[in-house]
Amino acid sequence: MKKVGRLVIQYILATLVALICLVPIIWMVKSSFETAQWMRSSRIQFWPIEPTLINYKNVLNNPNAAIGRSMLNSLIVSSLATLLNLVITATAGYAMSRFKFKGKIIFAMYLLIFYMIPGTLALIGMFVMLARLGLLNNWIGLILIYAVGGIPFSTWWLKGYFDSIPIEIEEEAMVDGCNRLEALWRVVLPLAMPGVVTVGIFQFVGCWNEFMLALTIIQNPKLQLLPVQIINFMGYQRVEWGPVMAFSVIVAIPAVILFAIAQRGIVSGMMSGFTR
Amino acid sequence: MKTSIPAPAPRKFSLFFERFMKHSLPYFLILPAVISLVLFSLSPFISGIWYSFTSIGWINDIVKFIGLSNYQQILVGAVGIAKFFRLAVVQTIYWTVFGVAGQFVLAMATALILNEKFPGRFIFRTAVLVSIAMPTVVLALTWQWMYDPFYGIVNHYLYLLGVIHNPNTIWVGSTNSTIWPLIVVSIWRGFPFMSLMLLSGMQGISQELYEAAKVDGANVLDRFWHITLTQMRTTIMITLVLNIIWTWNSFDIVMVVGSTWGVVASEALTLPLLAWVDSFRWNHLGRGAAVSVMSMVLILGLLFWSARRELRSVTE
Repeated sequence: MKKVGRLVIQYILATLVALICLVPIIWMVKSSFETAQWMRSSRIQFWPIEPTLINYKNVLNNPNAAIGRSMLNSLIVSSLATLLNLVITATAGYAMSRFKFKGKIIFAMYLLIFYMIPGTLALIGMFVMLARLGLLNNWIGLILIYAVGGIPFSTWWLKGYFDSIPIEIEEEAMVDGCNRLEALWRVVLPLAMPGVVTVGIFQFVGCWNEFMLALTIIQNPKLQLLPVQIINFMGYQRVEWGPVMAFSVIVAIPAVILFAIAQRGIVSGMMSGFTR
Repeated sequence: MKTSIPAPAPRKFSLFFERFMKHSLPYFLILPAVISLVLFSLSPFISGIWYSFTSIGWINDIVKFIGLSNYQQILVGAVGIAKFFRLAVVQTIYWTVFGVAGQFVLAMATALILNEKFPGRFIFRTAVLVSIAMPTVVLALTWQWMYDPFYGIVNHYLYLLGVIHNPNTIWVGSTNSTIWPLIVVSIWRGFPFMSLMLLSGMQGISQELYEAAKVDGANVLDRFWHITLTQMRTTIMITLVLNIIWTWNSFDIVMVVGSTWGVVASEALTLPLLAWVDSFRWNHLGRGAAVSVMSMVLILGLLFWSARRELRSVTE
């Protein structure tokens, strides 16, 4: 009996937490299916009063929203930044996991200090640098910055994955005639693949959601990425919350799906990452 | 037994190669990371600090060293940027202290719940994870809509509960709105991720400690206070320091909810937003950099000041 009571309390508390997490999200989804008339009513309920797809149609057909183009832009920039980030950090994470070398501590320290640098200060330096290189209003600069911005997190995380792969496996491969790099490429990386995918998803979603850098560096609306594009779209009209919420749902869906796919890896990766 | 001697020449070479690799391979492996960090993190950071001592206003300007003039403009006087700066310092402290405190309470509660094993736990974990995955801009817009003075859900319920007397209270986006509604958004944004950080520390605590305490007759609160919190000391410290720095430096929420397209409410202004607006809207890159540098000095100073006892005990 006591056990059942305990379980009930646990469920009540857990539901409360889930509700706190989900209420704004539910509200966003609900609003995206609501007609303009019902949006301006005092009737408040958590499912659409008169469900409609008109907001989605509005967003998808409105040339000012340009959702298809900006989604493609976001996809290109985030994918390339993620690939670049993984190439850089897989090797660095492997070195951090398997070798002792002079300067390792300095490198590790910088990865931690990285998070203390204020984004706006680095952005000012970057902005001037990119302007001099002619890379403002250009994806190349943004891709490089996104890829570098994820280096500390990805490196630590991948180091953790490499730590969990027994070194004997590589030694065996090296006895069989592989050199170290071949062993990394042929044996260790395939084993670490689930980890690499998880880290990649985390990095991708980070780029997909990023706002400040895209807002500052990209001014040409044709090159703009999704998070800024929503705000641009809002600016074109008297705020109609229905279409804006529909736009928001469309932006959020890929991020949520990717996180759901990588759920287990993200939670356990974060666990081992912070206890170390 | 001549046959058993292996061919010498390639072996020797490969041994040399092995040795060479052993010493320089790690450097090759971290080289791309080091180069890109120097180019795109360290050098913009250092040049940002340098610009704060120069007259640069926009990208084509001549960069001329002007000493502490930017800092003087920010710190001295009571009008213009100096007034904004002073207001922003106060708001940023509120924003960080109350934001992180709220995040911590909710995150700790969430972590405690998710740490228990019960059937269907993964559903609740998914709810937490979904809110972590949401883009900050999307959340900020949703909250802006929830704060809508006429049709917003916040006014609706607060009026029903009798908390507010004006059913059309304007919370955000006007010239006299304050930082407090934004802090609510920041708490909501920050606590799910923080709860996973805390959970990681919580799962490192051995169950035997709790069993032993139960045998000794400790109640739930005792166990939480003396075992959970004490055992998690390091995790809590790291989590708090990181979240204080992230919250202090965060930009998206204040920008999107607080000042849609240029309406900068002086009571809803934090230092990162002021630095950004000064640099990229008012075209004072150098002065914006100075605001940023001051912001960094302040948060590091505050952190060291509040951790001075711990630091002293470490150094002695």
